Amino acid sequence: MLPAPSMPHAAPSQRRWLAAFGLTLACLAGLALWLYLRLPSFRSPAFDFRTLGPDQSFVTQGLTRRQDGSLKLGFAESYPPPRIGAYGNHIINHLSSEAFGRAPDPAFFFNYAFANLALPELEAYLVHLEKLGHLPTQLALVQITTPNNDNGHYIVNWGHELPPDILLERLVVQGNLGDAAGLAWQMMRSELNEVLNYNTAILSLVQGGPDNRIASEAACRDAPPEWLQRLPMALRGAVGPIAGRSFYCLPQNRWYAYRRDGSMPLQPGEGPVPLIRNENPLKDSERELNAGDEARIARYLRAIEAIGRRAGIKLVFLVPPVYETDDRRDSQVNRIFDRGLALAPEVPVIDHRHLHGDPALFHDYRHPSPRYYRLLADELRRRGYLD
Amino acid sequence: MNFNSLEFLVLFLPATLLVFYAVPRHLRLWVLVGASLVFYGVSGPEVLLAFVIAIAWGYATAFLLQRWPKALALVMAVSVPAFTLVMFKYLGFILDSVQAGPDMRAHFSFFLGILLPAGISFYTFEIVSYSIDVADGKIPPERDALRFAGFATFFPHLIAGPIMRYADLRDQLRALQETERLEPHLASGLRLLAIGLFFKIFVADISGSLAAKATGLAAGEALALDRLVQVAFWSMQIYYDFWAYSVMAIGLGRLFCVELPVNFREPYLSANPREFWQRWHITLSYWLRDYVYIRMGGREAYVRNILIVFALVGLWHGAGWNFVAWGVYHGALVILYHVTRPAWDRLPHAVSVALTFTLVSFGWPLFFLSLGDYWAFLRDLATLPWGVEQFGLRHLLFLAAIGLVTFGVREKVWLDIEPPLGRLEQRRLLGSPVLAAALMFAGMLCISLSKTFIYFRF
Repeated sequence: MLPAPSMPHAAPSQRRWLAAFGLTLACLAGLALWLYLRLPSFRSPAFDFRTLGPDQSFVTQGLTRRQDGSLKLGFAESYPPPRIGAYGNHIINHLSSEAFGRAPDPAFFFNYAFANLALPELEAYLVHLEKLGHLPTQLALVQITTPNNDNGHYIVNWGHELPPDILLERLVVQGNLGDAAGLAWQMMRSELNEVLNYNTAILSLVQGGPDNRIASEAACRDAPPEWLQRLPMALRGAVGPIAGRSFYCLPQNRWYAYRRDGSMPLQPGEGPVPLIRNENPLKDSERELNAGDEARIARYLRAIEAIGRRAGIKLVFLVPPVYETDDRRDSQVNRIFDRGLALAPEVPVIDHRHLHGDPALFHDYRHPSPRYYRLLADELRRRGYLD
Repeated sequence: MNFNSLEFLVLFLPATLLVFYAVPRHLRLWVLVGASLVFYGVSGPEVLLAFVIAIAWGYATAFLLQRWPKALALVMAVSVPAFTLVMFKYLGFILDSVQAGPDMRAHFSFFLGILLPAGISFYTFEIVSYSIDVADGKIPPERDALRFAGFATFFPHLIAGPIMRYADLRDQLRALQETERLEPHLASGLRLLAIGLFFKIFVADISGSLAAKATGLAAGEALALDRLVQVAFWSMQIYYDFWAYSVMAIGLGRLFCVELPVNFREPYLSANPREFWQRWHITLSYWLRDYVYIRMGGREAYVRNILIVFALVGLWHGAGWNFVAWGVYHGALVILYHVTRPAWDRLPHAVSVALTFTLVSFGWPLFFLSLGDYWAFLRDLATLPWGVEQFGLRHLLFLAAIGLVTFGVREKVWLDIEPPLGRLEQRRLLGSPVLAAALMFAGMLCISLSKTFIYFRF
């Protein structure tokens, strides 16, 4: 027979203190949950990007990361897929139909990239679309975060970007108990970070529906009200939506928008931002790629490539360049990543890390420019990925 | 796992507490050791394995210390933890210093590829101190492997201290195994946890991001006063980052009926550099005093020994010449005080505190800058026009508010960190459970803005 457990002894004054502490914390956590639940979903009903005109864009300023992602996720789930789909994270935000010589056209090309999706979440995302039969019909371009961009972050580590139901789909098909436990842990982390988040709480209080968010040159002709422009930056995001469409028409907000092909426009009305080389420190103590991750990289590459094969479409990975000096090329994270790629030589990867020195290929050090994307499109054509 | 993460605060900690208090007394240490290994193991299996090997080695070799010649046994006992520390933490620095080429680096690719195990300097020092204390006959070797594992792994002090001696924890761990009904000071523990979290996010991390504002700017974008304000923000970032960790660690210890030592006693109120090191990272200072400084002869060769000890302090903090320079700088300050002591001690107290704070503060940029950048930083200070370009009134007001708390309000008034415990719970506002819950909630809500504790890298 097991000995009886012994609960701690606490004096009455401590018990009262603990009760008041717990109650207060529970009330505040409940408030956070309520605010989270009242945030409008952009996934269902899904926003139809095809309804946007050629000069219109859907402004995402003031959406939570989850809402931002759900906007594209909802479109991917609910509407017919394009011929070419790009998947990945914010690094390829500016990849548009124009790289392929076409006007923005969601039937031809759609950029599904958002937030900081890394390989584990990309796999879950693509498997989800595979089940729905909504993978692109010709080519899936899957971007991987360039190792030097963020010292190995967002390659094999989980973010908190996908909604839990998609992770749950992966959870139930995991044959391996360790993987399932890891995924369950990530789901809990993901939800916690979404609910207990100042951004969620504030945006839940001020956020309106999608109507005002559709901006265009014509819709944004009127100057924004004087008071809005005078607000300090820190307050503008919280109070600004009261001004309706004017808020979303502010030049600095229109940059955070998606066009009808899911691409993000370059900063309107302004020249390129001053180009500064990538100086993110590649400190050993802060890198996210570790010895042993080579096998994980190879495993995810193969798993994602298999999705393309099952669907009968072409699938190719892309490692875009970051603008940086030569001496950063031989970094620890690059070496680990190289070894990971070498473990899966059969998986097609367009590795453009060597294009790191040409400033014309960059909008800023980590976001390639339209010229880079034209170069990419040429290479895709040359290698037979495009008809 | 980080203390400043939701998975720790909302999942790991409550679950561990629940199981710890639900199991019979003889299982409590098993729960703590198991939870601590999970806490550490999420960093990866390689670092967990290195940690477990270091603990097992420290435990097993302690018995040799009684049988083998002392010097030989001690070298044996210290060799594996020291080797692990060198290979994981200092190998890259050594290879850089000897300008090793790719071929030589390829020989060490396994070690170079593994991420620096969190807290390796802390746990290595703890295991080494245990071996030395056993060799010196201060404590007998611990036969209870579980209790020893409890000492080495106890998660509140595992990653960033305080650096414990086995004698400090042995009886407390035994009490956990033997006491039928524990009487934890949960209220005090939760208050400290809440205050530490709040200060980490709203003082240390904001100070850090403001200091970073003035880093990497092109010429002409920052003026001399910007550099001074940056130094002040770095000072506050480093202090409150480590202070907050230590406060949280003590709070967590109390939740499990373990009292951890205070690691900071208002160090910025020190009146001279020597006093500063008696109030800053106290457990490291005492460790180096007892195991290095005194063994080298202490005051017999004061200047040499101080410089060696402080160079080690620097190297302990980070594998880089900037850290060595920072340590030597502090050694020089202590020696400066030593030789000017009569004059220094005659200074008005406020002046000596201000002088000490200023001198200490000008060392902190070495935590963030290479030696070359540090010289450029000092040159900027001396040559740039006198003015502020990057910081506005609100930044200065924020800095003034932190300064007021740091220099104007004594901790004993508002922090329940030293016994007798429970005093502050009687105070209507400062001891209020509602305030503590609100601080913790505010911290949790903004946790996504928080950075890893600086000392996790050490």
